[in-house]
Amino acid sequence: MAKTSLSDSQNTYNARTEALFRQHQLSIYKQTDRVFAILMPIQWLAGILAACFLSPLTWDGAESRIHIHIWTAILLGGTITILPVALVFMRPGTVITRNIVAISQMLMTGLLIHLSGGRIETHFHVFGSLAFLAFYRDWRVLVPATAVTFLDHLVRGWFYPMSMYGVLNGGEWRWIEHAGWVIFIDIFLFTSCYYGAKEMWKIAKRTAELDASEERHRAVVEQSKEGMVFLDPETFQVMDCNEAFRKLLGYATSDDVKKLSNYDYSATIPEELERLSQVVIEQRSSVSVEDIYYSSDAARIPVEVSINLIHYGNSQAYCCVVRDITERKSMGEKLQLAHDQLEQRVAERTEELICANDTMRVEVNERKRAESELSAAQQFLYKVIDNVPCHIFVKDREGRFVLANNAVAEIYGTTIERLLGKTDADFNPNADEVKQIRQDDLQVLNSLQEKFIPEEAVTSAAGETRWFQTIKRPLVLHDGSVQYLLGMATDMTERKLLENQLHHAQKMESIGQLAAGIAHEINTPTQYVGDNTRFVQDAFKDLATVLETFTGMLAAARSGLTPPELIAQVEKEIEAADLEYLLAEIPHALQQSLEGVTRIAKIVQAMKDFAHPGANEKKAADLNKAIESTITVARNEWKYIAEVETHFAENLPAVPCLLGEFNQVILNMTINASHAIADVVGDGVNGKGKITITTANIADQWAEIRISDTGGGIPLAARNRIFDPFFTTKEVGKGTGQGLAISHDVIVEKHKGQLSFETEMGQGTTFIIRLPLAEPTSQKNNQS
Amino acid sequence: MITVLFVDDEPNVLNGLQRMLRPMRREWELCFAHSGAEALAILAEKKVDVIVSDMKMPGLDGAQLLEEVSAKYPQIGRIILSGYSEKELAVRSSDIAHKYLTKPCDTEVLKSAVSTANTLRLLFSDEK
Repeated sequence: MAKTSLSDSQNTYNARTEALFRQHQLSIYKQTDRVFAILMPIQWLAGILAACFLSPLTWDGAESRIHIHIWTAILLGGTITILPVALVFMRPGTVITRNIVAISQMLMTGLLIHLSGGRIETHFHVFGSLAFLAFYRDWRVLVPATAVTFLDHLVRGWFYPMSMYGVLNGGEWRWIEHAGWVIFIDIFLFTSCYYGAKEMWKIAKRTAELDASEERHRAVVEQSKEGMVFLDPETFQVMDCNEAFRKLLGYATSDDVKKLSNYDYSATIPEELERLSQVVIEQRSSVSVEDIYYSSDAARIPVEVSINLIHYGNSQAYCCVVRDITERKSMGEKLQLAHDQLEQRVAERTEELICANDTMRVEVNERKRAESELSAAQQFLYKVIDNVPCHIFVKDREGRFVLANNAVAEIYGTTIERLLGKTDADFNPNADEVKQIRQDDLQVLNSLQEKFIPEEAVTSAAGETRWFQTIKRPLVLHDGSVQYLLGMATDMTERKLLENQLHHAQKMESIGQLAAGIAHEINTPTQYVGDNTRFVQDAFKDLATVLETFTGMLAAARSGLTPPELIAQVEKEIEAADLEYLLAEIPHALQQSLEGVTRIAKIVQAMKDFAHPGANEKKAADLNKAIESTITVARNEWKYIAEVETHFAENLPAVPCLLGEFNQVILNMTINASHAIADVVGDGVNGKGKITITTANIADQWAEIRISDTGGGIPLAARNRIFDPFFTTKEVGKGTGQGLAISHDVIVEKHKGQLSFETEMGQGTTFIIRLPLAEPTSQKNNQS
Repeated sequence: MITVLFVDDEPNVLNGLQRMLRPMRREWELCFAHSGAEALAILAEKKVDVIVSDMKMPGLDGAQLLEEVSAKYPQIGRIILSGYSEKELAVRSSDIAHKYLTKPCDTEVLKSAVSTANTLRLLFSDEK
């Protein structure tokens, strides 16, 4: 399939060459036609004049004969001239016109020879005519011309030698000598025509190549996602721009933008722009600045502009690559907010966040410049592509790089020259990544649909994994064919790192919050276990004293005597020890101590389960048990304001999941539920709320967990935003706005599950989590 | 004979304290309340010398209870016995109690705290 397309492209390219060649040929045909349209009437006139002046001198005879030759010159010459001249005007450039011109020109030559009385000098007109006909650069025109000349010489040589050679007889075979000369000159003229045509073909081919090349590069600029604008280096007037730039500023056509100067849409003042352009010239490399642009409807757009001075031919222009950073700006503002909130609890994490934030802001602008052997237009475009501060590449259907900028080459630790013609497989050691990249490329080329890849892993030459946000789109050439894939990628590694740190910070936050509660849960039973043990210890001393007196009484009883004073002493000791009380209380004390120990053991076990090390691979887990542990760990968060009721499905099989992350989600949900209830019931004095957690097996496809609360419900305005990062309705210090965003990430992205909610104002909210019971790719096919 | 009122929402804790303090039965009279509200009801009927209360309880919590006690019955010695750490207690109950104890609390520490609170109470009322 790829081969067919390649040969299609070759055909298109040949067709283009052919068309250019034909166009050139036609213009030469028409031009030569016009030459003859002027030449032939001149010859006609020359013939008439020659007849008037030459005939009486050469021909010795009566006047009437002289008249005949003048008439011949006028009438025969006119006849010969009128048809080709008419055709030149009516059908210029056609085969028939060309051939009629050739035949008529040779006939005119014959007439002139006749009028000159067959003078040998006039015969040179034959060579002149052939030479003029060779202007057509079409050897075929020479054939009828030569034939007419041969025939003329042959016929007139036999029957009218005076007309042809100026002799009365003996001209029968002279045509052979003349034919020899004509063929001799034809050989040169044929050669000349052949090389002339060949030269034209070369010119056409080169033009086609240049056109195709320029078209390709123009398409790269025009289809680039980054806005590009070229400014006059003196006036900063817009010279040209691409579609992305027009869209950014909201203009419909290039002409609208070309009326503008940089000052019309940029917040940069003239002095600053002058200074920047000086920096660009002095540093001889691009300079990146942040700026505010104003669109056609005066909206503010924060942008990052990379300015460079590019040279092409003898001209210069400032090339500005413009990137819309609205999203990054707002991201930055939100990060600041999160940073402020986290500071209170996780101070040491904050340090890292600031660091990461700074790192993210640093953009790498350095670009190596490869020496280019291409034409000025190509150099211009290559410089533009090289200066774009993101990764740009073009690949063919076989996955070979046909264009790449330095940023791409740097990832693979190579140069652009070495990268071109190679594939990802030649540089990327990770076979899975290469397979995924190839699969994406083919999808784009076959579907002709743009593909947005939010996260793409690429292993660099240094062996580290870098993350990219990549857009791939088919590159449509002028003839509508798609041979290439245009890719643009932005390095997201730093941002991803930051996201991971945020994620971790949120986990630390909730564990920190739990720690005090867990301590309370352990300390309370420890208190009464200790008290009870102390009591049993004291009680044992009293019992021991009583037993001692009993032992004394037993010894006395054996000897047959139980003195009444001994019985009185025993009774006194029993009284003193309050034996009845001890016998009743000790079993309770032991029972409650055991309860306390069990409580402590349960919490410790639940903590161990909850703090399950965050494995990177999914393992089959008992969700009921996991939920039970998480509820236990969080008990102190809900026990004063809500009852927790669980309904666990017994037919729930082990579910493949990242247990640590799952526990985190259940914890977030439970804490959210108790916060929601607290908003309604306050401190619980007028009755508690209720949290109900249900698990279910849905058609052996999904494990469903429903977490319902009897809180106030989610307000309408917040419903669309609850899964957005940093969105929170809780007061400052109580939530970072990360909990549900991370839960969504864990359930939907990492587990390919579903997370939804049902809410009713005044009634409460139910969050519904669904996890697939099987890994998505393995089982589905078998079932269907 | 001094009267000590213990307040805790966990019955096992009250049971444990009752048993552990049994040897003091000749010197102390012990009362127990399972909530802040119950404690206030007892105080209204009975003269109490020292109150020992848990912090976190449903309804009226320890801090609120002791605040009310200090307003209504300033002569009563106030002690907190809570499952939270001292650091947290200090933040939550700046000056509502005379003494902060954390669970698990040693018998001797509790006994001496109650005695000290009672002594202080007597001293203050003497000065008055």
